[in-house]
Amino acid sequence: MADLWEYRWLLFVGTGRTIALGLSGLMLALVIGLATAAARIGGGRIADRLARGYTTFVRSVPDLCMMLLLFFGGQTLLNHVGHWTGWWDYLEINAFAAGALTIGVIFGAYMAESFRGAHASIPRGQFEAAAAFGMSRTQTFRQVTFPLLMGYALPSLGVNWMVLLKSTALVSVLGLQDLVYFATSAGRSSRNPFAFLVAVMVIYLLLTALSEWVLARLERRFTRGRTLR
Amino acid sequence: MPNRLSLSAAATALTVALAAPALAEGTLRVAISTGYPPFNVLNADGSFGGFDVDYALLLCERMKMTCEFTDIEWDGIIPGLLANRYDAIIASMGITEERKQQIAFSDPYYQTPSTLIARADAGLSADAAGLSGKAIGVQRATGHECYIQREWAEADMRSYPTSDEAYLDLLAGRIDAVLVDSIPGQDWIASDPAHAVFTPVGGDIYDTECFGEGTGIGLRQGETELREALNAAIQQTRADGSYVALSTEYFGRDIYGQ
Repeated sequence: MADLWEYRWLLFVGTGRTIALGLSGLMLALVIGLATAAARIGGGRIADRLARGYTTFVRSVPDLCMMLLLFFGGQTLLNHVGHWTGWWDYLEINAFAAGALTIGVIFGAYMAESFRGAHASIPRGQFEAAAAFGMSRTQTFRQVTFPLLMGYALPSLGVNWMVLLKSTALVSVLGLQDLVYFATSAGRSSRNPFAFLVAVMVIYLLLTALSEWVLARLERRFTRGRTLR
Repeated sequence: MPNRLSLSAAATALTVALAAPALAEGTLRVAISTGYPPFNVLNADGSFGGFDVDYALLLCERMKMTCEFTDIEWDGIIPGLLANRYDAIIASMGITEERKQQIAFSDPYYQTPSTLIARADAGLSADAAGLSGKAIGVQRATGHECYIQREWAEADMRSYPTSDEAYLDLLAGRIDAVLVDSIPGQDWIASDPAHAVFTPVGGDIYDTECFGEGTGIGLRQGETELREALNAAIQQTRADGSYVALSTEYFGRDIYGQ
């Protein structure tokens, strides 16, 4: 316990970084997911093919493998491009941005499937009613499709978020010092690994509990009036 | 005109980022991997310590450069070097043939033997017959794997991501022994009263083929200038006695070898 108390500040910093990384990754994943789902539902044949290729590829490659590929491979590619064009010697990809982007790209694929499934659950009558009211495409999306979509998608998005939050632990391989990184390093440095692992477990449990509370509230909000269906 | 101002600031920042050369003037970007006491340690205030870190600072001082440390997971340390995220790995990395195919090394800066650690009351003998069928833990992708495969082929070798997991399994009784570097090994025995039942078995093991020529600084291939500068700095620390002083402070003796 003494070791934990000694390293409390690092654990605190690590927790903050884990949360920040999780939320940035989530935002990116939601945007990518929505865009991909849109391409699959309303896009042309080429957009559909591309979106399908992306979700299939990303969902079949292990997260860790994907991260190493995007982060180190991406950096090496960037260096080569700079070398060939002579425009730059070395452009460093910020580890946090790279981590968030990688998580966004990976979980965007899962989000896309959640959105697509949710869209399929919206009763057709809703769109017909919107058309009957003379709503434009944008109006339909903002006032009819999106609120209904979120209601149907939220349980699945919530599951994705929980997995995403835990996947942030993998970014420690990229040199980003998140909670798990500080905990393993401190555990080894103080020769007391279990105390730190238990601390990580408790912190993640708290984060998950908080997420569940927020998700429950969001779900109540987006499924308001669903009984009227 | 706040917009214009921030835009030009962004432009300046971009130019600076673009102009940053691989080897910034006077800065040596060093990769370490904390969690390997007493060589690489993460202190409670977030700073780094250990023999490798202190020795890197000594070398930077000799080369009139500033050390800039990056703490990175062991598995990602070579990819990061190759991707140019830092210039040198000073993290107790053994000079082995396998690694030489990917990266270059400075001259060795220390050389310590390996040792087998087991329960004192287990009566294990460190030879092929005595270890036949015994479970021995090692850190994966190290010379220890190579040594067990060659010398104790009948033993049941278990590879772990780092030696810490091997120690945990040794404590749990799941394996009979671990093959590790002698200094961290003895440090581990001394670090906790519960570890006192374990002891080095069969003495020090030296083997150039598997353990390489010692521990060196990992560099990108082709960076001859940096390699020679580091080699010269290592020689300087030997000549002026600062190496021996640092080594004695940590280990009570000179670990340079030869």
